[in-house]
Amino acid sequence: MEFFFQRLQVYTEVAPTPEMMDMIMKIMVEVLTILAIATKEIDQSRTSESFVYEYTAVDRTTPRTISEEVGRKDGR
Amino acid sequence: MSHAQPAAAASSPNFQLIFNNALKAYERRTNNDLLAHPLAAQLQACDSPSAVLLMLQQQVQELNQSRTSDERLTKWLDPTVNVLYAFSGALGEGVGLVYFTTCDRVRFTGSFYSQVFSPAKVIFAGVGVLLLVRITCVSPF
Repeated sequence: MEFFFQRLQVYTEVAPTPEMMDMIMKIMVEVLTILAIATKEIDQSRTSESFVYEYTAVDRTTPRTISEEVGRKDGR
Repeated sequence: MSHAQPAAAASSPNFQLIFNNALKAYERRTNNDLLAHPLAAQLQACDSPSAVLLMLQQQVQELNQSRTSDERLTKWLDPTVNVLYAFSGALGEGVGLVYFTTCDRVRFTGSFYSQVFSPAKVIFAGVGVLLLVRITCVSPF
């Protein structure tokens, strides 16, 4: 993204023409779209990681629960 | 309650419409109303690209102390903010998004408190939201 904007820096130093204004507006809209997609993707990956973690956390307690259960039955 | 509409007599109603649609699409995708986001209000006080950069960096530093990620952030954030700020200046007053909200003091009089956001400020708020989501997305493993 930084390379894209570094190249655009040239256009900030000249007086904008009507055509450039159209292009500037399109760029701003596209940037907003990219931000929306990136935010959604990261948010979704966080949600799915959280789900995996909860599942694994539950899973990790299972052997201990079984062990305690067996211990109780054995009178240990 | 919020909605965006042309600020005063917008010289480029198409710009206004296009950007409004993009903002609605953003809201649909992320469930975030950028105009109502606290960061957008904070960014209103920024009157230069360096002030915007400082605010975004402070926000990141509050949540993430890593120097490496800070340097990486500066690398792409600097040109992004500088160019968008300049572009927003070029668009001038033609595009402005008005956020209407009731505040407690005026609610009973039926008055509204309004703020006009430039497209760049809205985008910077979007950058801030992305950074927040990115930082809070820490793997629990």
